[in-house]
Amino acid sequence: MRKSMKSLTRKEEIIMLSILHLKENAYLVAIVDHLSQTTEKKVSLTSVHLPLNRLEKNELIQSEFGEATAVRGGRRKKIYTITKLGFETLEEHKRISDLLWKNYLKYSSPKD
Amino acid sequence: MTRRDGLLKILEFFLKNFILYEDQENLVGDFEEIYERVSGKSGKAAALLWYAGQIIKLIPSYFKNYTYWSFAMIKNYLKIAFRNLTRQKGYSFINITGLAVGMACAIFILLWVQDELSYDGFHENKDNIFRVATVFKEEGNTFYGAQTPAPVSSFLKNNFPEIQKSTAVNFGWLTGNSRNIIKFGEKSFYTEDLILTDPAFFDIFSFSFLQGDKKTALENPDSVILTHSTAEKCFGSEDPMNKTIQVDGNPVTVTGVITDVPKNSHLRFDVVLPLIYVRNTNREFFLTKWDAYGFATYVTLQDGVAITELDQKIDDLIIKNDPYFGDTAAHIFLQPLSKIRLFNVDGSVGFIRYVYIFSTIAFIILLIACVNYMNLSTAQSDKRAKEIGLRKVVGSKRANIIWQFFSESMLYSFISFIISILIVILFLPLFNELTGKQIAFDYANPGLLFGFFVVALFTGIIAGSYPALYLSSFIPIEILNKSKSTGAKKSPLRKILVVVQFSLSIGLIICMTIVSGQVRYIRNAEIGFEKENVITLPISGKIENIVEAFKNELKQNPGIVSVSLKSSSPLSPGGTSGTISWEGKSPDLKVNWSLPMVDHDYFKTLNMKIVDGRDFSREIKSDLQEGFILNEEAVKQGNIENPVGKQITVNGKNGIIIGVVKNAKLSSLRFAISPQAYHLSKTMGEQFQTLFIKIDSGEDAQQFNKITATLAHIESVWKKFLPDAPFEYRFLDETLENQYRTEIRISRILNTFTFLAIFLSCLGLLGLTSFMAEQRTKEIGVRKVLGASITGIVILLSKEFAKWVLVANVLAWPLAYYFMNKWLQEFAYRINIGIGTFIASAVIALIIALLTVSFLSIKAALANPIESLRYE
Repeated sequence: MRKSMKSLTRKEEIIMLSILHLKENAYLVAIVDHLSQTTEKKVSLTSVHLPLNRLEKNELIQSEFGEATAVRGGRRKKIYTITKLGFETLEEHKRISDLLWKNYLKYSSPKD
Repeated sequence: MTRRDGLLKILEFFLKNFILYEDQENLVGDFEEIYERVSGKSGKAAALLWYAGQIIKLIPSYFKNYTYWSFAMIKNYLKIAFRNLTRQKGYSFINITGLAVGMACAIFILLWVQDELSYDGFHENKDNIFRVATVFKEEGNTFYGAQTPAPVSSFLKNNFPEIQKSTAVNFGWLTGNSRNIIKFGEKSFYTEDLILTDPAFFDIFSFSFLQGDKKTALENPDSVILTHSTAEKCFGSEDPMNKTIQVDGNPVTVTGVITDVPKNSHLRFDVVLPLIYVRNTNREFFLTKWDAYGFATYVTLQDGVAITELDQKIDDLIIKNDPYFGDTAAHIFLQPLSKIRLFNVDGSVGFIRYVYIFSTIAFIILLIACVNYMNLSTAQSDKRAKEIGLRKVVGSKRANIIWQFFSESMLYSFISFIISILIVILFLPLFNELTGKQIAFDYANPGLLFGFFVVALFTGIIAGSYPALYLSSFIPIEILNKSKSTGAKKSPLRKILVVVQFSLSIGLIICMTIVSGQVRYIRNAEIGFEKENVITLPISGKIENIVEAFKNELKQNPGIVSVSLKSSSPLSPGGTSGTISWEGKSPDLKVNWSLPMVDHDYFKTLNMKIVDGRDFSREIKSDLQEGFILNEEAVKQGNIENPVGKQITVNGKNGIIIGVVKNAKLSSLRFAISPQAYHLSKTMGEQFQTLFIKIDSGEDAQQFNKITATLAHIESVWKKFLPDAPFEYRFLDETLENQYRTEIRISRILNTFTFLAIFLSCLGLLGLTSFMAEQRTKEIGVRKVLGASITGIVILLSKEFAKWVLVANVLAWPLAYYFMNKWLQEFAYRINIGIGTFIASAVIALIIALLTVSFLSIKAALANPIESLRYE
C-alpha cells in the first residue's frame, strides 16, 4: 500500500488541470472562464474560489501575486501554480482513475 | 483606472467587508474584471445586478466567518483584559469595588422601586378597579379627597350601566372607635385595621378565601371575616369557622378566613365586618347620609368605558339630582387603582417622588463608579498605548479597538455584577431595616433578573464608552514613536469627569445636611407642650360613669402627676365639623376648626401654656357647659381681637371664650397647625378616646424602677375599672416620633447613599492620584534633587485636585438648592437653607479630597529620588 494521499474531488481535479493548462495566467477569473468553456456550463466565481482555498490549504497548489492590471481597477491577481505534492496527487489520481476506467469499461456495455 | 460609478462603489464597499482581509484585494479585482466583462456584454445595469447578486450569495458565508473571527477576537480581548486585571491589582481592586458597590446600590434601589410599583398589582382585574375620589372647588381653592359619602356606591351602581360593581369601605370609625377590641375567651387585643364593607368588596378585589364563601360571608350583620394570622391569634390551631368573637363587646360569628393581606396592598386590614354591623346604633344614619365623607368607594367598569366621559356623566347627574353635591361644589371622579399608592388624589406626584429620588441617587452612584472606571482606564492609556499601536499596525481597525475596550469593561462589569449580587444578598436584611420594607430576593422573577442584567450591561457600556472611544483614536505612529507621550495631562475630559463626580458628591452632602437638619428640626422643634413622661392609652366610649372614680384612683399613686382625657387619638386635633360663630365674626369668613373635647386637667397634663385668660376651673361650674379655650391659631385665623370674654356659638351651643392657649403642634409638622376650640362637654356627640397620664419619672438612677412601679399601678387600676379593654400604653414622645418615620427613613437612606457616593469618589481619586504620582515620579525626583521640600511637593500634587473640587461646587450648589427647596416646601414648618450648609459641604468635600490625595502624594514626596531617577 502506498503512502495515503489526499483524494481529489472531480471539481478539484478539473481546477488543478485548468491551472496546469493556463500556466502563468492561472488566476481565479481565467480558471472560471476556462472551466465554463470546457464544460460548456456556467461556472460561478464562488464555486471555484472555495476549492481553490482548500487546495491551497492542503498545499496541493500555491499562489503568488501577479501584476496589477487596469481592467481590475488596479488590483493584483493571485496566480496559482501546482506544487510538487499537487503533481504527485494528480498523478496518483490519474493512475487510479485509469485503472478503474480500463478495467470496468471494457466488460460492460450499455443495455438497450 | 476605469470609470466606476457610485453604485459600484457602494457594492464594492460591501464586498470588501464581506471578504476576509487576506483575500480582499485579488478577489475584489476578480469581481471587477468580470463586472467589466458583463458590463461590456450586457450593459451596466445587468452588470450591477450581477454584482449585487454575488454579494447576496456571500452573505451566509460572511456571517459564518464573522461569528467565528469575532469569537476568536473576543477571546483574545478577554484574555488581554484578564491579564491587565491581574497585573494591576490595585487599580483592578478600585475598579471592581467601585463598580460592585455602585451596582449593588442600583440593584437595591431596583428592588425597592419594583416593590413600590408592585403595589396592588395582585388583583385579578387590577386595571379595571377605580377609586371614587372627590374634589371640592370653592373660590380660588380646590380640595381633593379620597373618600366619599356612603350612598355614592349604590348611587353609581344604580344610575350608571357603565359601572359593573361598586363597593363602599369604611376604615373603622363607623364603629365609633379609632381602635377596636377583639376578644375571644380570655384573649383580647386592639386592632387598628378593621374595615366595614359589603359583599361586592370581595368581587372587586382578589383577596382569596381560605375558608367560607365570599358571596355569603358578609350577608349576616353579625358575621366577621378574619385574616389568617388574626384567626390564628384568636384561635390558635382551632378551626375558626362559626366561632363567636367579640368586637368592642358585640358578639359576631366568624364566617370566613382570608389569606393575609399582601404587604404591597394599599388596603390594609385584619378584620372585616359588614357595613350593616352598625344597624341599631346611633351611627347607622351615616350609611345614608350624603355629607359624611368617610367611605372609600371602589368600582369596576364594563368593558370599553372611557373614564373621562363617565366622569363627566356622573358629574352632570349628581349636580342635577343632588342638591348637596351641587351646593358645596363637590365633584367626584375615578382614580385608577394603579395610581393610588404612588400619586396624590389630584394626580400630582405623590409617593412616586421617592421612587424618582432614589432612582436618581442609584443612577448617580452608578455613574460615579463608571466615572472611576473611565478615569482609571484612560489614566493608564500610556501603558496600553503600545498595545493599541501594535494592534493597529497589524491590521486592527478602530472598530476592533472599540470592541476590545468594550469587552474589557464588560468583563469588569460582570465580575463586579457577581460581587454586587453577593453584596445584595448579604446586606438585604440591613436594607430592609433601613427602608422598613420586607423585600425578598426573588431569583425566579424574570423581569427582575432582566433588570439586573440591564444594570450590568448598562454599567459596562457607560464605563467602557469613553476609554473605547478615546483609546481607539490613537494614531499608531504617534504612539510608537517613543519621544512623544500621550500623557494624562492632555485629556481635559478626565478633569471634567472628576469635577462631575465631585459635584454629585457635594450635591449629596448638601442634601444630606439639609434633610438631616429638617428631620432634627421637626423632632426637636418648639411644639408648645411637654411630650416627655406622658403615657397615652386608648379607651373606648362607654366610660362616662366611671371616669371620675377611675381618675381619682389612678392619682392615688404618687408617681402619677396628672390624668386627662381627650376626644380624639393622641396626636389628632379631632374632626373639623360643625358651625362656629362669635361676636364680631365677619360673615364672609369660612371656618374650619377642630373641636377637641377635653377635661379640666388637659392643659396641665401636657403643660400647655395659657397665654391669655385662664384655664378651665372646677370651681367655676359654668365652664363645664360654656367655657371655650381657643388656641393661638384660631385667634389668628378668626381675626378675633381681645378674644377673652367674647361670646361664641359652637354647633348651636352658646359659650364664652375664657382663655387662649399656646399652639400645641401635636400632628406632623408637615401640616400647618389647625385652629382649635377646646371645650369640656359634648357639642355634637363626641366621646373620649384617649387617656393621658403624666407620670413623675423621679431621679435618673431610679427612673426605670419608678416607671415600672407606676405602670404596674396603672395596670391594676385599669383592670379594675375596664376589665374588658386591653392595656396597651404608649409613650407620647414615641408616638410623636413615629409620625416622622418616613422623614427619618429618607434621611437615613440619604445618609447611607451619600457616604457610599463619597467613598466611591474618594476611591476614584485615590486611583487617579496614585497614577499621577507614578507618572510624575521622575519629575518629583528631579525636584527633590534640586531642593524641593516634601511639603512643596505634596502641595504641588494636591493643588490641582483642590481646584477641581472647588469648581465642582459651582455645579452642585444650584442643583442641590433647587431640589432641597422643593422638598422643604412640603413642610409647613421648615428650616431655612443657609449659605453655611453649602460652605460647610464644600469644606467637607475639600478636606476629604485632600486627605485622600495627600495619602498618596506624601508617599510619592517621601520617595528617595535615587529610586526614581536611576536609569535602567
